[in-house]
Amino acid sequence: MKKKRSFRHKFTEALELPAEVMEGTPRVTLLGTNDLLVENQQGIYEYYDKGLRLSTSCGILSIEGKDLELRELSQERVYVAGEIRGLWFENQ
Amino acid sequence: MGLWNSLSGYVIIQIKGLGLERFINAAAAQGIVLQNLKRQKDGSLQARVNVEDFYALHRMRRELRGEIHILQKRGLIMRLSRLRHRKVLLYGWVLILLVLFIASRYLWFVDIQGCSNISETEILEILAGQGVAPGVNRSTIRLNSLAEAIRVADSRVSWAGASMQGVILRVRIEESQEIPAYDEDETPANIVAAKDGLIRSIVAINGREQVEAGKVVRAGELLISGALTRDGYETMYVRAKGTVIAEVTYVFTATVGPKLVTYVKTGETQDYTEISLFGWSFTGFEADYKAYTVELRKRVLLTGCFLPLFVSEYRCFALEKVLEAASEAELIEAALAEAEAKMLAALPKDARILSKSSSTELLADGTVRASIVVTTEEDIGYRVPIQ
Repeated sequence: MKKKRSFRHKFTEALELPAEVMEGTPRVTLLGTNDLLVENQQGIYEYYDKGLRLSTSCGILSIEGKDLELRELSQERVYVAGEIRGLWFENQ
Repeated sequence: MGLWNSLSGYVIIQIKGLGLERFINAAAAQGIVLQNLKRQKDGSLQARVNVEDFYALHRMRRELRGEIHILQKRGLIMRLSRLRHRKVLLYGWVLILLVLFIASRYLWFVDIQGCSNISETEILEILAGQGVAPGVNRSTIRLNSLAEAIRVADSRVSWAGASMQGVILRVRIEESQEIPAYDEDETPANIVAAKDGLIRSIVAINGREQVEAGKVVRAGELLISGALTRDGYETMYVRAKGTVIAEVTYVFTATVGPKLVTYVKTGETQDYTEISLFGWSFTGFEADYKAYTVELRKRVLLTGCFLPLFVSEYRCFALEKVLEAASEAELIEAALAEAEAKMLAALPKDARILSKSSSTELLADGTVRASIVVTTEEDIGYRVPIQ
């Protein structure tokens, strides 16, 4: 497993291909403190109005805030709106 | 996206149950897009989904150990679907749109501009001769040939243009300017002053100028001489021609009072009814009195009628002239009006008014005298044959 990931990573780097396309790496775009777009997410782990936990290839992405709303939820991306106070990866 | 959803329709749903995250993950994996997903205080989820995705979501409800409720239905499609039960309203709208569409294919109004000496009725008659009148199909109107036809039909029209603006035909004409008649008479003549004035400019086309700008002349004074003299040569007599522009001052007075002529009602009346559509009356009326005034008593719109047909009731009051005592203000107004009327009648049409002032005076006998002093600029030349 490690070798495969390592080869894929090296291949992506060598050809300078976007990592989120080749490896499914999550892309997190934060605009100010109110809008957050997460691409390449693998599903909602937990959702409540003060927090959201998303499953990604890099682990569980935790988002903490207030009045969080999922403006758009589709197969690969989620658009979060609300008062975002912080986000982190729980286990990598 | 929001605009598309508003047109195609969407529903706001509430999802209740256990394992809501698993359910929405499964929905997202099916390609269902959930928008504005928000956790409620009771633990349920509220979301917005378009109509197609809702049906797909509904088919998945077995995976949810709970319920899906529709809270609101929104969008143009939803509003239109409610009209299924109001067929008369729907057909009414369709009928109105159809009537408007058909009506817009025809000409309904003709607007003519530029008429001064030529009456609008004459232009309308020319248009009617070309088959253009309210009610004809717009596609049959050829604007270029119409303008040409107007110009050819009446020699007083120097230019004509026509354009269509919706259901209005706008016709604009320019009337021909009168060409001054060529003076073929070669009888020797002088040009003298027709009235007193201060010469502003003098231009002699034929003959010799006798005065210059800035000089005050009296009526009858020689301005342009038709007798051309030169030392050693016989005097030659020509017909003097030219323009002499001078400043002329006029004074107009009028005295009125102490009573003024006014019209009072005699008490005799005559009633009549008028039916009109878009301001055009279908019924005529002629009063039996020499002087009268008309008052509108009642106007009713005929309801249930597609077109705005009005029925109006009028009362005609007979009037007679009487002399009544008037206030000073009324006398002043009447005196000034009379002096103004004298001024308009006396001034030449080509005179340009430079200044105008008026004054009034209350006389001992109760009358009011108004004076208007006008200074104009005009051609004072007057041709007199040489004897």
